[in-house]
Amino acid sequence: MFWRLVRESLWRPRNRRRAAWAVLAVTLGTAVAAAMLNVSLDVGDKVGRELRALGANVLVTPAADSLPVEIGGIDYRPVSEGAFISETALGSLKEIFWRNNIMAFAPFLYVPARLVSASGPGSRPQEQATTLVGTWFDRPFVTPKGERFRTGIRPLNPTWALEGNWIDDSAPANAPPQVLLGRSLAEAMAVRVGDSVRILVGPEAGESDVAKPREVTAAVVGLVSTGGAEDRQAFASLALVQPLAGLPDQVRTVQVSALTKPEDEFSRRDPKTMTREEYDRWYCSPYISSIQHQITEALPGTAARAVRPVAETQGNVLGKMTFLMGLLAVLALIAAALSISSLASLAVAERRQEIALMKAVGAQEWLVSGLFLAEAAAHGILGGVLGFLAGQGLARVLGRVVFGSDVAVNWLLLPVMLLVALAVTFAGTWLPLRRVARFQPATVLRGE
Amino acid sequence: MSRRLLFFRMVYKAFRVQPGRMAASFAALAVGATLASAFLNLYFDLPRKMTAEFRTLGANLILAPKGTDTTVPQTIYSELSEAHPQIARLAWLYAVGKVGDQEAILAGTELSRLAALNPGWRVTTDPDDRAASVPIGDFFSRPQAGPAEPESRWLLAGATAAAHFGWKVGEIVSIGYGGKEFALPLHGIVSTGGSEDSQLLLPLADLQQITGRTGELSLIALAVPGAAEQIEAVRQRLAARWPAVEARPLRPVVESEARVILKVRGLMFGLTAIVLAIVILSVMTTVSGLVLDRQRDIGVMKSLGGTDRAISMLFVAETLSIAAVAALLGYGVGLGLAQWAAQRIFASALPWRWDTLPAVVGVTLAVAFLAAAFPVYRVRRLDPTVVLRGN
Repeated sequence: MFWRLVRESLWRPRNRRRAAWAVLAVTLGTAVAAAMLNVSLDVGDKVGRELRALGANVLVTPAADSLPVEIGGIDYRPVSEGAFISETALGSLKEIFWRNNIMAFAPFLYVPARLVSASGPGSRPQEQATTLVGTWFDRPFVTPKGERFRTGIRPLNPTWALEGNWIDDSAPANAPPQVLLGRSLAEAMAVRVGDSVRILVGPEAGESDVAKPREVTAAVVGLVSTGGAEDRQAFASLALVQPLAGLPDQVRTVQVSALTKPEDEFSRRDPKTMTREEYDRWYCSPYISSIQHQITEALPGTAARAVRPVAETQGNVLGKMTFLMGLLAVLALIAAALSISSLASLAVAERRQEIALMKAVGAQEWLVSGLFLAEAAAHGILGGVLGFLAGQGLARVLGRVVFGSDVAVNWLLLPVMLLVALAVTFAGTWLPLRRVARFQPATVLRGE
Repeated sequence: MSRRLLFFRMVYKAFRVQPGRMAASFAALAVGATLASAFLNLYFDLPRKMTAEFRTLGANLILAPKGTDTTVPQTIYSELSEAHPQIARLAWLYAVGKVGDQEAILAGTELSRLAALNPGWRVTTDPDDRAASVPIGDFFSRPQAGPAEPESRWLLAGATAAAHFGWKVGEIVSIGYGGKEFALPLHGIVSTGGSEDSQLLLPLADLQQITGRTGELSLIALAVPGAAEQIEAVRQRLAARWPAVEARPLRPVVESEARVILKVRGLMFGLTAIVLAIVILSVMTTVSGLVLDRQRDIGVMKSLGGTDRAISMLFVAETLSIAAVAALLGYGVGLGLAQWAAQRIFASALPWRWDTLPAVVGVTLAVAFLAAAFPVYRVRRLDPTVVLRGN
């Protein structure tokens, strides 16, 4: 009898519309809550990716080095001084525990050089002292585990503006040499894209008779502008610069861009003072300090330090965004809960006479409550599932529109959302039921 | 009793006789208005707050020598301070000096202004404890940390440089330039996380005197407040005023800032729209339900000769008067909520905006009106005899 009543109230044509409304309300509420939760769980990752535009947040240098002569990130030491890192060892950067958080890295070799522009008709050759920077641009790279990966300064610095073309550093070794010039340097030399420049590395003419300057003529394929010291440098592929400097397989620094978790009290502690479990927890969290630690493990003889302004800004913005989105999700959850429970109580209030009738023919209190709660459970479950799916869709649309990429579907949210939907529907049904129970059936049926 | 008086009396009585029912309506509307107010207040001010977070990155605009020049005249710097006093600015002069027989970058700057551009830098002043450091702002606000007299020469060493040379705070260190030696007291060790860690920082005038490059600067770093458009506007003004130097925005800083702000704005807009939609739905169902609940009252009024128009007006007036109070209350509570969130997240207050008040009141009144209008429309078709019979 009980189940027949439930079935009746769910499927009788007269009740179908009401049931549909109730399910719709639960669906909408759950959808909003699920979308908000999904977005707020994924926003850290999404904003973290946006913040990569700031460039590298970890800098790897040789551990036993002389003092860098450095302004604005460019090292002006002559190649005869200081220590270097081996280029071939860099593959192990993608073997550390948090390898998937290493979004990009690029090696750098700074070589003091002189650039001489070709003498054209009516213009004298211009000579400028500068730094020739050897690096990777967008190099295909296969990790020892066989994963394919592209890295270099293009993925590392997505905000660098370029006029012309990037250097293709997967080109064969005997391809004609190419160089990118910083915009200010090119303006000072009156060089445009398509011109060629002579690059001289080594002592000035006449300064020494032993070592002759090494020289190469390269085509200017692009002009790069960043606003920083790079605007006065020349960039070429590492494979071209190493022989010029006489430093095969050597690089000065490696810049790494890693996705990190904002620093907190725990991460600021010294790992040496941690207990075994704490150390494991620290090691297995993508804090910038643990990533630094893992990089120095993977590249012995190097020191990794955080580029603090970048790392701090990323941490600040990320932490604030995550908290804000969490807060907004809670507010949305409250709004959704209110709307679901208000609709559920409305449904009960509308059926006061039905309840009175049931009681008048002898139904027990628990039977009436059970009937309505079973109905509410059906609405809650159906609406919860539909709402969860709709919420995923909503989160997807939001992710697409705002970030241009999908928000990850979090299936763990499904049982949580179902429980919340059920609880809220129950609460919304239970309160008016208690009120109705106090009425005398006769009074209600008489219509007062 | 005049009709008008009757009307007001009935609205008034609706509140007096059934306060519980009205309270439910009021609560729904107030919660809706609170959420709307909190979201709108945060939405409008969030991008500005986020922009401020990017100030830890330091400069976002650089004035550098143009073409074959290697220096910027210092006159530009003083003109700049007069023309744009609100922009945080810092002049730099670089020279390659020697410590012993090792080369090191000497960076001349206005030490006391460092904090304005680089709030994230930290200074160690304790010679024995390298880990104990204070933010650079605190270092310069403490009187005993600075030089006793402005004329005296002193030095801040970058952390890498200090570790390399084994220097301790308080030592007198010797720096060579152009074959001459200069002894300077080391006042602090600065840790920046950038290139400055390997530099030696000294007062600009001193370095100019040591190097004999009076009136010359290598570059001027500026931190322009505001978003990408404002930075571009400042850049154009500077470029027009001083064509001899190059004004260039630091692309990584400016662009990533613009990206994040755009995303934050988009996200907040989407979420605000979604939350407003669910709030509207919830308020409408609650208020409509409460009006439908009063079918019997309507039946009585109709049978006593109340016109459809008068009855509709009655319900709309009732709902709107609740809504107006709820909107004001919700606005206040929502503003408080937004203030709390802003304080908690950004540690700075939200400025009061006049335009969110009419927006919140408008939305609440519109929702209340729609919520009342729908059942009132149904009321018109109601047959009093059927209602009063109780079916």
